[in-house]
Amino acid sequence: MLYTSVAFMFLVLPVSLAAFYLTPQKYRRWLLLIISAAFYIFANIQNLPAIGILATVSVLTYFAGKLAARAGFRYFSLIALTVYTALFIAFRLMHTYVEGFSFPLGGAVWLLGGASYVIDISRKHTSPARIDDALLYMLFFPVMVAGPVVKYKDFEKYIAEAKYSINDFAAGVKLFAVGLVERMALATVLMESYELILETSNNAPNLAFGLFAILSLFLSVYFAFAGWADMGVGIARMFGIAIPRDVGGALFSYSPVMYFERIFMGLGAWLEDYVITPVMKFIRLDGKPIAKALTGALTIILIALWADFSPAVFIMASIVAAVAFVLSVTGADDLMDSKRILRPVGFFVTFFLISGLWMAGVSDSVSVLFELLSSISVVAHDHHIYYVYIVMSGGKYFISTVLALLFLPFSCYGDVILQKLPDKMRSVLEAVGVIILLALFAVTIVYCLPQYPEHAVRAFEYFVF
Amino acid sequence: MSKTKPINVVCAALFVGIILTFTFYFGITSLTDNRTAESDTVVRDMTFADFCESFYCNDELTVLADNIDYLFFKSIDSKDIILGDNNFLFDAGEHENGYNYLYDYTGNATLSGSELRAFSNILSLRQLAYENRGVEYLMVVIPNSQTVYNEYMPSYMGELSENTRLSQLSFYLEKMNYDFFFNATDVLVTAKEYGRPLYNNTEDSLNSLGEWYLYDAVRTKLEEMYGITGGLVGVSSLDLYTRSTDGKTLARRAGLESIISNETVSLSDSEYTKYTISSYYGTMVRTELTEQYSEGSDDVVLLEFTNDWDRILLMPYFSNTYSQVAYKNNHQFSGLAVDNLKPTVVVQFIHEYELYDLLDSNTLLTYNAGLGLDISSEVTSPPLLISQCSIDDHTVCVAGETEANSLITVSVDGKVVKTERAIGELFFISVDIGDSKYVRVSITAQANGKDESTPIELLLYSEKDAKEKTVAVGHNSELYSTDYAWMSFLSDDQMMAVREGLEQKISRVKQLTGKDTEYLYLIVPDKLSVYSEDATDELKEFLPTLNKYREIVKGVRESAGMTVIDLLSDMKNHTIIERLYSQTDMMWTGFGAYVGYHSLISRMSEKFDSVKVHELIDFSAVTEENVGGELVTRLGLDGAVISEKYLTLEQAYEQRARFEHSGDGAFDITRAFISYVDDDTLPVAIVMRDEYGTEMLENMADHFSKMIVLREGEFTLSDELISEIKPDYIITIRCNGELS
Repeated sequence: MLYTSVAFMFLVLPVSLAAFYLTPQKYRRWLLLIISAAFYIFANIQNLPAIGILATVSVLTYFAGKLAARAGFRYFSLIALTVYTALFIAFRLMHTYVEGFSFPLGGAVWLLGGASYVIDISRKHTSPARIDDALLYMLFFPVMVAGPVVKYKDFEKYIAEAKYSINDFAAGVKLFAVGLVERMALATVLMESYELILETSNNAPNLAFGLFAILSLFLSVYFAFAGWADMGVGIARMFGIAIPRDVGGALFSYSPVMYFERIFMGLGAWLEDYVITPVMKFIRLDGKPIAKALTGALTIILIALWADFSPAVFIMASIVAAVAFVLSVTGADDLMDSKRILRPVGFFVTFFLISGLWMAGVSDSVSVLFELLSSISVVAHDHHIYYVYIVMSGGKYFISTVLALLFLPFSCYGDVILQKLPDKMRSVLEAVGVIILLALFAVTIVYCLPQYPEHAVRAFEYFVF
Repeated sequence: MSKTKPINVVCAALFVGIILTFTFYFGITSLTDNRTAESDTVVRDMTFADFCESFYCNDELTVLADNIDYLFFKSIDSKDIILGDNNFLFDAGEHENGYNYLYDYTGNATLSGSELRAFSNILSLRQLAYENRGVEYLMVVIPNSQTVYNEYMPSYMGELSENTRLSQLSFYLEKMNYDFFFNATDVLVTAKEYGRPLYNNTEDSLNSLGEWYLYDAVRTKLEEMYGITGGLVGVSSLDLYTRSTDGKTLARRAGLESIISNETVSLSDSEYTKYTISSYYGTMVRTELTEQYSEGSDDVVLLEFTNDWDRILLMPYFSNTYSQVAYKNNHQFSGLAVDNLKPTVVVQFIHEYELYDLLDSNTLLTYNAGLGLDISSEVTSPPLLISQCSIDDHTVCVAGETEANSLITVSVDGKVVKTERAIGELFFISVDIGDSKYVRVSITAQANGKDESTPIELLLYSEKDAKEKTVAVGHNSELYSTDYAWMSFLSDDQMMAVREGLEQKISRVKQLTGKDTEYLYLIVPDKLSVYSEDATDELKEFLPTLNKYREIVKGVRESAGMTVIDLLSDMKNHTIIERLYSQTDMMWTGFGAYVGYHSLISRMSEKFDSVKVHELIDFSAVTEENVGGELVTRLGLDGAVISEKYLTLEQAYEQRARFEHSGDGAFDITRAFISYVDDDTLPVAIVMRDEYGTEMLENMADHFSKMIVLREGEFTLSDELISEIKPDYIITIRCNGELS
């Protein structure tokens, strides 16, 4: 049961919200815990071992937090990190190789959350929570399907600052609507465009369609990740809990490291805090110039593997990380920071590298980008190209791409732009924006959802969290 | 606490409104749409699955999405259909025969030199087969809609290639002076300039106006080439009207039939027709101008189509033009139809996308056979192969013609794999090709007293997914049905009930007639029982079951007091005299029916002295050629292509009986009728018959003062009927008998 499923949107969400707002404020946290637990049970109802794993890990995490607070053991963080990472890897391997075992829905996020809880306590950044707070952190369903990954010490603050106002609810609605449009109206249609071009051209499109396919995939993956995260953050906000958005202007990145810092901000912060910085300290590189390059490269590989744990992605991510490393140690990154004129070069390099990475994830093959680039010619001589013309004729995919490009600044920088406008204009634009957004939301439901039911079943068509 | 913004209130309210609207809409849909078969009003419990189904399987949403795609984006959810200008849809897919519209349009599917030669050879063969029978020939190609309306193709497709297969073939054949090959593209392109549509915009087919231009061109061609004249049906005299209908084939394939309408020109149903229509050789249709219009030309035109739609639209034009027109729905050569119809000309219509079908080997074989046997006194003529078809995954049946009762030998790589004898001039031989897709065989024939023919080479191929046929090819060209699904055995209790029912019926009949009315039950044996020696091993194994069934039927009927006449031994005794059953059908021949008649009436003559059986001497024997029977159809062959000759008997005596039918149709199985003979000494009978009884009736009628014939299963024997006519006999004629 994903956010894009009709069962969630039209049954679970309205019933949960109605129950939540009809419940006295002091009981709402308990109700949220019950709703979250129910969500997980229903979401994994056809995968009963997952429910058992989730319950066991959640309870053990609570007790591990208590133990961490008492032990004061220096390496407790390392042990916790190792155990949760090992569980993550084990579940992913079992998902791939053990017949009948499915990776628990949201498993990647709550394992990271569990690690965060134990590490934060062992580092004395916070104290052990009450069992209801600990379980709510572990099970808080809005952030569990695809992020954002929230560290426990931050979650504590968000939950303490929970606000239940119309303004907050509306802010959540807007984010949820943005997320649905991103995920279902843009990501799916663009992915379909990518697939159609490759399939109908027999993997040999002409230059224009080849580049369009790569652009479609590049945009699609971004909107897929952004859509899930925005829907999650939006739902949390509707329940009064304000979590920062997880995606920034990743598509405007002019280096691979920048792309990954912007597309999974929560995960990036988690990795930096709990993995990379301790590792740098351990190998005594902390503060040295090469540490930045190594941090970037490691971030790329780890985030890519978190998105898709496959040999093809690992190899391609290593290539991207290597390029990022070189760009960093040679100072090219800094040069682009200081000289705007060089940024387009960095943008195109990033565009092709990241596209290649996601193409490897989609097709489970490292060479797909290179094969595509090598087969592209200015004018395709293979008559398959006519089929590409047929499927791409009409405006569906081109208009979707244009809409995606127009939606991008609105989605990323809408609030910032609005804040800079005079009050009256801001109010008018805000009102128009809301009406357009909700109209797009409604169109997405009646036009896109019925056409792509598979997205109501799997979190990602290609990437498994 | 920050101040609540009005826009946020609106936003929250709209969001809740949208969500709740869908919640209630799909909730109600899922509750009401899932109705049970028992009652339309039963509402079942709703589950998440039902709720999701009401959304994802919602036809209205699917249609809405298609509408949005088409209306807003001009996109179609199909890579096989091109959306052209003026709401034209063009096929871009691949035809069953491998023809690819798109590749041909762009000139990427050109014919090789050898393919062009193959086409010209095949067209020559077709023309020659008809010419040998004194019939003229014309092949007409109907172009694809994108060939005629290529200006409506989207710009990305470019111009129509000059190297399409049709243009290549036309050019090649023109150089070779094949004037009987007529490409109608130019005619239709010229006609298009008049402004009215000639093609359906959502299907690759001509409308009534387009078909008229085609008709006009063909009529002119026939007059110019062969001097065949007929009164022109002028376009101005026709009630042609333009109308919009739901989108046709291509629109349906794209799911847009309700969105893209089909603009077409139709001929009014009230259009005056000057001809009568009758069926001809099963699937064919023949029209004849009524007397007042048939003055002048008595040309007979045979039109052959691959598409019934063309036939339907062209019929009002051609049938109002020529005195006799026959319509056939395939291009296979039928010597029988040609010999009987005696057409002046055969016109074959084929679509541009079907050109490759001209090379179809099965059709080709029929023309080969149409050339006729080359009879000489010393050497047997090579067999004429008519068709081949798969019986199952590994067995192929070859059908053909040869000299009378020749021995047919099939060899693979010089090794004889099968030797069978033909029945008369027709042979069927099954060849096991194992798991091979293709096997090349050579087939020879040897007539009695002649040398063996030169071999004919044939490539046998299996259709791996072919549906298993309910027909078996036995030894010596005998065909058998393998469909015995009708046979059902009854339990002892059921048999007891049947027997008691029959006893009561017989007793009731005697009570109603007031005399010793006799129930006669005539069992016509199955072809398998009579010609068992040539059956396949599987059928031979089945034979005891079939015989057991007949014996049970016999036992039950006899024990209930019926007189049962089992024709099996009589039939077996007569097999050496003449064919009793058709080779290509399960039915008996006229001679077989005579044996049945003789047995039945002989039995009656024992009781009634006035009943005198007509002996063979009272008949004259005539050889009849008929279309192939049901077993041939089951093999997937056209009955008009494989004809069968057998002996039938014609009355040489004067028929005493007169008949009163219920309408037209003579002894047609669906009819009930009464016959009378003015001789009170003869008995009265009610006859319940199946198809087998039909052949006997004319002869039987002479032996009853009154005979009422009813079809078993369609009419019931009512008390009123029995008490009114007081029959001496109630006769039932059934193949294999019936238990229930």
